[in-house]
Amino acid sequence: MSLVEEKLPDPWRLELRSFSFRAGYAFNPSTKEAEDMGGLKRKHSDLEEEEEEDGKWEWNPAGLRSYQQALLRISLDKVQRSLGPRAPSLRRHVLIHNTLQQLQAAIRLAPAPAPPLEPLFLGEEDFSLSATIGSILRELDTSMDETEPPPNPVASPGLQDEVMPQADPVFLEALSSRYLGDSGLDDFFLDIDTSAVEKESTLVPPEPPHSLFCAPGSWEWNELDHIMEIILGS
Amino acid sequence: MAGAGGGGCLAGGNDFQWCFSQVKGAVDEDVAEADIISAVEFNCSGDLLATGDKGGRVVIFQREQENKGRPHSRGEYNVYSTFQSHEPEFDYLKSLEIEEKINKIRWLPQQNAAHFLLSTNDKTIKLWKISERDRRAEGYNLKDEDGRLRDPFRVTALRVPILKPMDLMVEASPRRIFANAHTYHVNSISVNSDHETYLSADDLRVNLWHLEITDRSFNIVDIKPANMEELTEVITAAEFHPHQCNVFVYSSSKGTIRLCDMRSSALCDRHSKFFEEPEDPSSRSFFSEIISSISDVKFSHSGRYMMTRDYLSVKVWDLNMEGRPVETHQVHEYLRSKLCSLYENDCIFDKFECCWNGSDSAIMTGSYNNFFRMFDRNTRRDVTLEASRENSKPRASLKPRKVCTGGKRKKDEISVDSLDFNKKILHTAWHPTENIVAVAATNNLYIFQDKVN
Repeated sequence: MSLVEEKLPDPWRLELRSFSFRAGYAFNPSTKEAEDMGGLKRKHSDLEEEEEEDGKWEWNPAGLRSYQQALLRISLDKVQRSLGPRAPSLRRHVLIHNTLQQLQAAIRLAPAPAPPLEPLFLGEEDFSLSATIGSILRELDTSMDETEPPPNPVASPGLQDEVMPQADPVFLEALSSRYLGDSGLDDFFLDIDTSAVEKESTLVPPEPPHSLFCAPGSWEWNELDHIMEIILGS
Repeated sequence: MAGAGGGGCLAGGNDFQWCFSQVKGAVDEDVAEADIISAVEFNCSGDLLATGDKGGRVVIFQREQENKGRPHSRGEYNVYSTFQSHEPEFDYLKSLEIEEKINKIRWLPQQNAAHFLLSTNDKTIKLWKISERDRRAEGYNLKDEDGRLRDPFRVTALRVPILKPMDLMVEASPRRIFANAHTYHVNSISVNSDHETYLSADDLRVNLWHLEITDRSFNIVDIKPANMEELTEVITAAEFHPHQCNVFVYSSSKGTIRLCDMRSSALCDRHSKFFEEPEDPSSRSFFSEIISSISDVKFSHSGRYMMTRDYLSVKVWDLNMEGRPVETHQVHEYLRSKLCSLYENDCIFDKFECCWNGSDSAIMTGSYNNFFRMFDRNTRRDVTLEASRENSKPRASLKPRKVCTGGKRKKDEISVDSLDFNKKILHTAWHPTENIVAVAATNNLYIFQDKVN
């Protein structure tokens, strides 16, 4: 079921409202666009006023998109934070993992808005997101189950020879290690060069690569390189 | 069930009038993490009430015999025994700490003067024997009263030691330790009606044990996929049927319950019955799956029904109807519009328990702000009550609470945004035969009784 609808069903509307209240986004009913309130929370009375106008205005895809991206950030942050001295809760990880997959699917389905508010999670980034999501459970498996050997990462057969194998396991380890706790995943994404992506903002985002591995010199490779710099440099 | 005062009473259909009875625990605003109660369970007679905490301790309360001189005073629960059940451990192989927090306590049916219970943390289940000693022997031949050995040459006469009364001493000793059978976190234990076996469940597996045998357990459910990346569902709770010793159920993080019959095959990966309510497409959101995750499953005493608790509701299922529950009770529906915030602050992952009363006519579960909810299945009435020190005058009636969901807030109502999400009631227990409930509110244990008991 597509989660991107012009007119959202009631629970969605309520959810978005609660989100916008906290995150400091305001929806201007006349322009039907999102305005960043600079992180200020609106007063409770504003929220109550809005509730009375319910049914007069519709949520636009831009708002939904920023909502999805915020949820994505929150989810990834949760995974990061849950890696502590104690064995992580598998139930929690699986639930977050499933939510991430839903978010990823929804973001992929949604056409990129014009202008893009946060051009971070479009087609090309799918690869790194998929790798992140996939790594969450893989890492859990190797850390928790002593009897099973760590499973090999899944790769499509054709591309396997082209790729340098060192990047992937290190990338995975970086995600599950405590190093990234300092730099924060937000910085990780903000530093990505998005100029190539912004040109195509009015088109449907290109298909994500089919394999989890990436070719050296590609955009994804540069991104991995950048992550390695953060880890080794800090 | 006791009848209401005055007027005719319907069998099991009268309103309760809950009153404060006791509260146990520190009054301090600063709550020590180790004191947070993580398990509450009455024994089969209701005379004993056990609690487990995050510090790995078990405290057992015993109900005092009712004083005939004061007919209105009902038996109070006082500390009977305290012991350290589990200690924190460190798994050196995986570099992981193993929490000592008690996840579940289950009593065994009493067979002799001693009491037995099972307590478990994330990894290890222990069988504890709690026994009384009120006599001791005096007049040994080979040792003095203080225990020092006597010189055998000084013993000139023989005497028979005699038993003399002493102050009651309650001893708890670990009789069995069931270890090394769970890779993942144990979430449930359940004693079988055969009184010889029990099951323990973790996120991916359910094991069957014999109470006498600690070095072997049988794996009866295994949902671990070959590739962990394919994992989308975990086991969240499991319980044996109260009468049929071959039947058990386990619930999942996707809101499903599977009933298994151990007679059909050794490995019960294929269920006999599959319970799932079809999703309501109009209420679908990113959090639909998380809130459908079942946190507790309990059979009714009759064995005909089972109850499941998910994040927002309690559902009663008829074991003969797999397609949908026969009853759905909303616990705190006003939280549905706050799911994003509750996801962010992790409250959406809270695991609430639920329980039946002795006659299966009422059910109870906890909520936030130290509220707990009771549903009368016959009258279809429900009530929200609060466990707080403010309402803790002896025998004071509890006033029903109401959460304001929008619009004008009436006097005495509390708005959703004012709820304290740190005050959660996750663990509650109902006396097996009487209208007495135990409610764990962080580090305090409240006991409430029905006025007309």
